[in-house]
Amino acid sequence: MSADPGTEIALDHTGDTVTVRVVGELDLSCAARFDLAMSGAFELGDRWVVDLSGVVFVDSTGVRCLVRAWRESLRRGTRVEIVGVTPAVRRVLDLTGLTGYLLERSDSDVA
Amino acid sequence: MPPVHAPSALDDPLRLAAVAAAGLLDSDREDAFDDLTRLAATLMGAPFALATVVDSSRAFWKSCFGVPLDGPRESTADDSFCQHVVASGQPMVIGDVREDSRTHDITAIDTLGVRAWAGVPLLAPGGEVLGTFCVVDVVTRDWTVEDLEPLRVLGAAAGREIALRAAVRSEHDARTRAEALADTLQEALLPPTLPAVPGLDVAARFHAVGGGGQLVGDFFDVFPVGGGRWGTVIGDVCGKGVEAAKVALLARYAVGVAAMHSPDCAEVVRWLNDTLRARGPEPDLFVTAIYGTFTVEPDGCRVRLAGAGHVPPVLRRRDGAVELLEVGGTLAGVFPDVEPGEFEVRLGPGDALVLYTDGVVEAREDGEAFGEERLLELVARCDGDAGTLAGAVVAAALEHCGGEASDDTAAVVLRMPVA
Repeated sequence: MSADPGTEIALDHTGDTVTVRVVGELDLSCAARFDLAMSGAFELGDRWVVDLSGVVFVDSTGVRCLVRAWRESLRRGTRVEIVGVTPAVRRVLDLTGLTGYLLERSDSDVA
Repeated sequence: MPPVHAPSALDDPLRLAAVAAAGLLDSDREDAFDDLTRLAATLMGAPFALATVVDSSRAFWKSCFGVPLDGPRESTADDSFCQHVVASGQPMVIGDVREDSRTHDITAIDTLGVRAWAGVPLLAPGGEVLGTFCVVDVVTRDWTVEDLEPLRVLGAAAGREIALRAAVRSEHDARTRAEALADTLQEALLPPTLPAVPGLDVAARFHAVGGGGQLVGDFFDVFPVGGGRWGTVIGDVCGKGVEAAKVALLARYAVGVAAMHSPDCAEVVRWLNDTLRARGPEPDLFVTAIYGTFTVEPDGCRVRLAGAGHVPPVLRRRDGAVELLEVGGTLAGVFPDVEPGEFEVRLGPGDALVLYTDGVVEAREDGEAFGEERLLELVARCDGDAGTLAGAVVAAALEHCGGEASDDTAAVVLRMPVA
């Protein structure tokens, strides 16, 4: 197992919107931290944004994180907004057929 | 000398089973027990302290502080002090063993000079009396209640040592059984060899994370579906461990059953999605998969594919031209009513179709993932049979991540031989 390449996950709370910003690689090495950040976001606010503009790689574990966040947000009544989708992330979401579900009503693609 | 114990206590089958299970009879001296007997002797100012295990005929001295190392380590049960503790299940304290009707004729009074004896039951995890934890003096003693307290505490510690060992053994047994189960499950998951398909070259290669004995979330298969048609599936459960392996098994069998009922690939993938969703809300586990059917004819092989959000297969033409087949669809097990992606391709002589799992393209060490570009270049260069091609794909991914894959990696290749 390679060392954690140093993905940064930041939580930004403005008004009732909480933004989880990921910079680096959204994969097995930081999945637990991402889930933790999302749990925090769900507790802190009523609107949630996941900013992936700094994500250079996402693997199936990262996809799992996004699906989990998306489902939890629906359960709470407001869809999480996933923004800043880079080409690398977009490719994985397209392949897994998730684009239509996860990015619906998001318009911040940088692709 | 007539036995003075109640025969039923020493010979109680449950007690004897506990003695056997403890595994202490005829075992070597061990620090774990010797430390306790030495401490008991020191605290109680006695020259001897013993931990004994008594079966139906003898009292074995598991630990015997003060007794010469080359001396005896047992007595017969009916010539022991222990038998009375075993029979009663109660502590026994005797200030002068020569004066007590239960003990006055025991041999050790002469051979070891025993005059005073105090002992508590040594208990098995289930409460059966295994033997005693006792101190022995060569002068008569006027034991006090305070004297007995350390004996009780140290005797209980010896009992806990025995219980701990039993727990470790049972944990070890459970793990051995679990590993055997894991191997069986994995065998069920991975066909060791694919069937021979007349007229088509078919091969699979697989690398499991952590080598053998690991449960895997990748699955693949090739099987006849009747009427001269064949089915093939490759899939990947996102997740690891037992839960992922269970889902992989379910997915593979769901596809196998659906394939027997419907010639329509997309219908089989919908069935897979419905089957996985029927497990109940399971947000953490989903499956990506491609199911295909094919018919082999003398001049080629027609392949129909239906996808559930799986990584795109690579088509390699005989001349080395390669392309990714964007089968599409949505991963299975999360959303209701998904529409599978569909793709149809014809393999002419020398053409090959490479199906794989995301462990291939996601393989990486610290830098970049292996990725689709490298995969396409590799397949374009590899002009071999199905086994060579599948092997090259798995090997290249493994090499890319420095030999330590973080995900299972599988490749299945269908190749139309050159006539």
